[in-house]
Amino acid sequence: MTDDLEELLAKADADAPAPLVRKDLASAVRQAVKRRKRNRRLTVGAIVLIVVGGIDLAIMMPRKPPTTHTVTVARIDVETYGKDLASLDAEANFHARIAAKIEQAVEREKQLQSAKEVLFRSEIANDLDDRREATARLMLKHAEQLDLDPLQREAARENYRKVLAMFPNTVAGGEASDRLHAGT
Amino acid sequence: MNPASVAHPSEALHADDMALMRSIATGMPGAFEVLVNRFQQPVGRLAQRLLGTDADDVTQDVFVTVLEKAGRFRGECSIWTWLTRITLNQCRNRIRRQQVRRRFEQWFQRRQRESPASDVRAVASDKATIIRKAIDALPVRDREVIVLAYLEGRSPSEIAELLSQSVNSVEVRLHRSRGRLREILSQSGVKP
Repeated sequence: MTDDLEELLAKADADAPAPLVRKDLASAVRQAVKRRKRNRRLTVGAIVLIVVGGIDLAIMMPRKPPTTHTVTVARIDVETYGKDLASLDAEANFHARIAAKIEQAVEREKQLQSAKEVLFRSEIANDLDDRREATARLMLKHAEQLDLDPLQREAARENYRKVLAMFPNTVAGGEASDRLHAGT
Repeated sequence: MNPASVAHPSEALHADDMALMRSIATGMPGAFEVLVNRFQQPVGRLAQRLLGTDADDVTQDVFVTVLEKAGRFRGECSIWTWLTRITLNQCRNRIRRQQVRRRFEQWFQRRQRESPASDVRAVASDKATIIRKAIDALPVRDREVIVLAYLEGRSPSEIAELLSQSVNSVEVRLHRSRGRLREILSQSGVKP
């Protein structure tokens, strides 16, 4: 800085009025500090009160009673609930009857099926028996022809034994047994 | 008011600084009054140099802060340095508030379509007032270094400590502030 500027600043500073010297400054400062502390306490207290009050209000504020709505619904239910129940009951009975009918029909179908199977099986058995009887009869006739020849009687007895062994429950098998016993 | 006449009680009181501040912190009767009596004038003068007006209010605010924060004084610097920092902070706050208020007033005047007759710079006539207004026209940081260096007589290292800056940046700022002040004074018709 040039000397001129410094001098100018110093002169202006010297020309300025001296700052006021207050004799009561210390007490004024103490009062100001007290005021500040009191204001801070009041502010903090007010904030606490507002927060606590807000929480209390939020807790104590009567909430929208959900029972009112429920009561209305309950009144409607009381009147309509019986009808609904009866309707549901009738519907359930109807479905139960249908289910029972279906079950009966299924059962009948099963019985019919098993009966058919039995019949089918008996036919096969009869056919098989017939075929066995026929075969046994053929073997028996062959043995009887051999039996007519005295030289072939042993062979004939052997054939009777075969018929008896192979077709024991047939009529021809019984006749073969008779021939064997008669021969002995 | 020249720098030589400014009381710098730091040297005289430095040894007793901690004891005095402890006495204030513990509420010893009369201790705070001792501090106020010793530092009221230098604090008021610094505030006046920085602000021009409202120095009394700032002085009271400074001592309110001192009384509230006396227990935090660690003795790492002298009381005067500590008080200077508090005064600088208080003045910055005051300047910010003044700027906000001035902007609002200007906006309000524009709204009312009033002429800017109330602008004090327009009616400044004498040289001292012009210089005062020129200092007021400087940005806050520039104003601080000018006042501390040329009116308070502080060295760049002291200013650096007070403003928490490096000595180099203080010197650069001082150079720049001087240029700005010179420019403002030239525009106002005062040639330093």
